[in-house]
Amino acid sequence: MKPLRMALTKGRLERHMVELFSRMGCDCTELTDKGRRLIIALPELGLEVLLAKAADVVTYVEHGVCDLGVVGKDTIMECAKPFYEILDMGFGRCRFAVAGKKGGALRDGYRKLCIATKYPRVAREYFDKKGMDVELIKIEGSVELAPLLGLSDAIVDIVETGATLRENGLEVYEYMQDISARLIVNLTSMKMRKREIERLAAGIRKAVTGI
Amino acid sequence: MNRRKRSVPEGMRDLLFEECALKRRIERSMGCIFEAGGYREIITPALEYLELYSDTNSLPAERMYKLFDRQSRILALRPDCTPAVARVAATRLMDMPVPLRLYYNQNVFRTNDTMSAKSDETTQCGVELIGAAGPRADIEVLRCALAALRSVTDDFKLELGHVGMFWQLSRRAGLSEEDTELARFYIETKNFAALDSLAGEYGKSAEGLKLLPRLFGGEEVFDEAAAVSEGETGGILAYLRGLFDTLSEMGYRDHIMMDLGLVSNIEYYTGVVFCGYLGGFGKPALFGGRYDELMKKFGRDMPAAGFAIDVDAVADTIQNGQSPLSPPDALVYCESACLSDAYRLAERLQGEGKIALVSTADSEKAAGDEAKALGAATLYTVTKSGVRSVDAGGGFTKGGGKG
Repeated sequence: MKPLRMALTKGRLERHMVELFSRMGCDCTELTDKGRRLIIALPELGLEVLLAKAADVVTYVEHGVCDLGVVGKDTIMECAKPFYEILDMGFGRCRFAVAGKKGGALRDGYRKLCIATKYPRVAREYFDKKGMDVELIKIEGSVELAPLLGLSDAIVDIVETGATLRENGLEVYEYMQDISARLIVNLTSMKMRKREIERLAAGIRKAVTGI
Repeated sequence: MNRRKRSVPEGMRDLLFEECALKRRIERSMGCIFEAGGYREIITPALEYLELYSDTNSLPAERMYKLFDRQSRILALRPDCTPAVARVAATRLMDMPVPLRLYYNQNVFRTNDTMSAKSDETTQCGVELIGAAGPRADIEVLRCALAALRSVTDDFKLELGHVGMFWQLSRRAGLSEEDTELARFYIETKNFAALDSLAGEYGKSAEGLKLLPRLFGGEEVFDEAAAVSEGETGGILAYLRGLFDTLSEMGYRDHIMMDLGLVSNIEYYTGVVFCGYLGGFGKPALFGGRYDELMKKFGRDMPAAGFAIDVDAVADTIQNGQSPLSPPDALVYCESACLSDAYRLAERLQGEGKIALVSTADSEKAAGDEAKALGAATLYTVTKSGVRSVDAGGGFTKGGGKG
């Protein structure tokens, strides 16, 4: 039978996945020594695995060219695409937060604040819900620079330990939401290949939580 | 030169040759199935007042293409076929005996995200059975959907649910309005973890709700749903079971799946909802259900149900197996004085079922080149002294003749 195809997020989550697959009894040398190959077979798990940037994992799963994906909740919230999100993987934990210069505050009278972020949709939704009218600026990396350079009053970003913020004289004003890696599934795959996906998800759940 | 006139807006596309042929074939085959079942076609305007869609809980307004009419009223480019069909049924067809069996084959326009490779213009063909309720009416619509899917491929599934499951269970749990919306979203996306923690706040009464997104699959779903088989949800389950058994008897057993967590993002559905999947395609290719409250909005209170097939989605799934269009069988070239003879010959060949065309070239050599380019099988030359034909090397049977 055709193996299930799974897209993994490159980087930090990738290492967690290698460890997870090993715990599930899979030999991951193909995956760790993949060289320039883009698609790697893991026949022991009935899987074909590829590595992609987080937002692309979501795109591949949404369009059904991958049956499953492992991606952070931050990307899921920002992309807001249709697919099933069936399992919290428990790793890749961090939090969405609003942060800014130490001693500052999220409200400054009636002045309209400017927020820099890699996650404009998440930020827009959060401030809409709070009834705050803010200006958003999309920044691609090192968002912490924006308030330091005076481009924005605050940032919306994911915070793991807060070390980067502290080292740059910034602090968290508000935590917004807990983030972790999730197992996502294409809508049609979930229905057409239910048994295989459930078997795999149960194996992953067992390796993640021990139950 | 303005570059825009040589390109199309994002979300729009030209369909060429094989793509058209395939799409038309699907539309014809759906039309035949619907007409054989006594459904009659209607065409509704592409432009209607925005209120037709906004007041019927069709799509959110931001997904619609809008423009203004001659009096500056807001119009929407048809984003959904059902509201207009319901409007026609409630107005012009007021005096017709019910149930009404109507079908349509029309384009719908919905905005999608930029760079998503999704078409904003797609063709939907579907049926509406208006003025009938109960298992007989639901079976008729479901069977019609199954027959339509089967006409495309054997690799299909129809998934069956009921919006009442969610509404009953969220009422039983006593969910607040805001949490109801959240729970609906979690169920729709099968976000088990988030649903569990939300339902956890409501204690034991929300146990059934927690189960809902897990209740999908084959016949075993009815056993797994034992925990929610009391009260109103029990009635719904028994009803679905009845539909499942009847459709199984009709030979569709292996193609039917249950998903009690099927909640539609189109809000006008009130009862049975269903969704069709074709193997190898990432999103549902058919969607339908019962909408007993919609007709009331047009002043004619009647039950109704229907479904729509996304013709482009169907075409995408079978694109690969599609054979290329046939090259012409004959190209006819003639001396300038023999044009009427040339057309007479072409028409005779066409009458034999061949594809034959008359060359516009003004020399026999140019016509020979044209025949090669077209991949035509035979080149005919009509002169005062008669008709000559030469094998132009093209055609299907000769192989490699696609030009």
